[in-house]
Amino acid sequence: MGLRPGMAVAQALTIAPGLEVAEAEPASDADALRRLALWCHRVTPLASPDPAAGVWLDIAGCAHLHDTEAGLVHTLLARFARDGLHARAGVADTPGAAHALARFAAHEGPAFAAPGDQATAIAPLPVAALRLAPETEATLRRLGFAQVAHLARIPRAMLARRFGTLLCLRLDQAHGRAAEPLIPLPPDRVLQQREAFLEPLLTAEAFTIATQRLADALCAELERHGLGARQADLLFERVDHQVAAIRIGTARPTRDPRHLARLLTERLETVDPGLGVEAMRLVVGLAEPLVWEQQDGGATPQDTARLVDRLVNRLGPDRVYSAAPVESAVPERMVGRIAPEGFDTRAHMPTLEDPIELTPGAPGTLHVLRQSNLALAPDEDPPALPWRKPWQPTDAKPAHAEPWPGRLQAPARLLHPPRPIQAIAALPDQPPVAFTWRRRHRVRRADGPERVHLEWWAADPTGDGTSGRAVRDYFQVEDETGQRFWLFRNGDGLDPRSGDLSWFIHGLF
Amino acid sequence: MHHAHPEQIESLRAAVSRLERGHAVEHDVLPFEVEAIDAALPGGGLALGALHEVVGAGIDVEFAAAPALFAAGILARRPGPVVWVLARPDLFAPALAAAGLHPSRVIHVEAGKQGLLAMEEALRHPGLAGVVAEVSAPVSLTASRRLHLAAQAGGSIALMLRRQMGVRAAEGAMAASTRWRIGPMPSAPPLPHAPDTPGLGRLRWQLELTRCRGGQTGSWVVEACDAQGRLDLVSALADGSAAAPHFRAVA
Repeated sequence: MGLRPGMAVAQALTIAPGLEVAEAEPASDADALRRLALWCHRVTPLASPDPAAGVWLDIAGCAHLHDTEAGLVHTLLARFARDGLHARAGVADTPGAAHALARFAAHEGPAFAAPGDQATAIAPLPVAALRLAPETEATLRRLGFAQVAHLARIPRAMLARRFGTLLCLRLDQAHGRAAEPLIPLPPDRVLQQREAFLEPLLTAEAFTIATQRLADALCAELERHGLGARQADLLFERVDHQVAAIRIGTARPTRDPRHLARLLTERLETVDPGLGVEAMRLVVGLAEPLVWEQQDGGATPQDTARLVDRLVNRLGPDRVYSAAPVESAVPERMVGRIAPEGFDTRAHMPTLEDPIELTPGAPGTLHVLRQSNLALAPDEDPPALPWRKPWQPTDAKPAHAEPWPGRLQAPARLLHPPRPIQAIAALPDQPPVAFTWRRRHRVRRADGPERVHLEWWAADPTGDGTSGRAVRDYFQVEDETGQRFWLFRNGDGLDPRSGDLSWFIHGLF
Repeated sequence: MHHAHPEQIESLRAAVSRLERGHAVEHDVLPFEVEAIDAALPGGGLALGALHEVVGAGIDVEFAAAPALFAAGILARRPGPVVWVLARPDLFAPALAAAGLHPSRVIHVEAGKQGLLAMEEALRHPGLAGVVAEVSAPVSLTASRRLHLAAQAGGSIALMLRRQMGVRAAEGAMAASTRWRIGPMPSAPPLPHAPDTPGLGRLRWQLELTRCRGGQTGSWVVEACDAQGRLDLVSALADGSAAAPHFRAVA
């Protein structure tokens, strides 16, 4: 359609009015490319990203696994196409020629240069295929050098004098006369330990011992990498080719084998071993850098983190929490729940089926979810996880300032929902003289009213269908025994729309 | 019959008291900073690394509101995180904050039927200020002894708040070091010189120490926890000289 890179947005929109415009994110693009290169490790151990939109793969010695080079490339492209990536491939002896063929080959689909014959393969390509500076390329075109073949006829000395040494270097690299080493990405291997058994295991004791051994080995490996596990899956490969699994999470990265093994063995009872388990595998789902910390003999946050791990492991992440202030005047909405102590308990997952909640695009989104799909073929490794990225907790840590207004009269127990009571009180703003809740209480002293306007902007502020106009008048009353109660009356006593003047008990002091 | 020597009896008593107080680890105490109460407790304060039982009175037997505030006041005066095992999710965090226990220090645990298990797990962890568990089911002597041993091992204060669904509190045998009963008490007018002024003074409790291993039982009328979690004895305030702190609390 005539759209090209570098075009102004306004111009592009004139050509294609429905064009979707997005800000460029070079950093994310580079990161995605790196991950794509990592993913390509399943084809070859030597892969590296080629900015801005390519991946180098050294497939020497790998092609026979797919019968031919063409087989390998087709498998790769088919896989990319399935994931929505449009890719072209070029295969040649030299990186320069492969780069040129992938981008400038005349026909769609992968382009192959026969071994030792990259010169003829790239000869008909435009000079732009040589990875030149734009001005050099423009000059060449103006002087009539349309194809790479045209350059080959000119003496090298003249080319070097007129266009600089880069052109000669690129020509040499494409033809294989100059070396161009690729720097492969280190394989981002999944940290895991697997143990296969001679006889299928069935008993809890055997699983416990095997779990401890796997945890010991895994933690040694974590230590070599300077990492700690945040999430781990223990997979049980059963004799009937089903896979059972336990997933545990930790609030802080850990590589304490006893802690990991204990978290795992506590959940062993949830595993159905079927007719027997022939292999067990412990996979780190998420890891973070963990350096040695100086122990000062006292308790560390790590200790509390372990306690949180155990409690969450046993009870579930929504049952262990800390309270945090919420800006609301309605008592039942004043207290929010956050992860305890600012720890991140989202790595804790009771079951593999529960989708983990991540911000879109956060590291691990795709992989963590994909791993929960346990229909992996037994010989297929779980996909590589981007475990070098630290997990960023998004829950705000509670401020250490005054959490709620200091003069707030707060009862120790909040009855939710508030219980209706019978009360005798003078309108509009006198505290009750007596009220009946379980028994009759005579009010000896009282404080109030404290008026709370329900949140008129929220459709249903208390969740029980009261209108947004509603007002509550709170009274703190003390009965003849000295027991204090927190009572409120619906309505301000003047405007019937503000409430029906019914009384409720909302808390005990 | 052989007549025992008084010195022998003394040494036997000392041995028994050592056994009773737990010979494995000697823990420190947390004083209430109220002379009369601290004098009744062995060591001059609430023993750390031990189990303590707190019950309410009247309607509060079921809700344990005053015991919760009492526990918050104790733990507010200790450093470190607090684990609070809930029976029902009706604890109102602003009240704990008002007693000096910051919400970020408290880890709430809704353990359901596994309350005692969660309490024991937490007690075995070092570095906690204390563990509070609200328990509505009866607790056997064995279970309470386990908790007491766990508290000894971890060194934190274990506070068990009993919540009975009936009106009567069951007085089962417990391995707790102390048992407290907190009943309501009519409070004083907010301004002592103008008793007819409407309003409420500081909350008052009838604080009863109904069991105390190695110490004495007692009963005191106290004003409930202030913003730092401290109690004040009412009888000490009764005379004119000690009324000043009360004024400060109002202002």
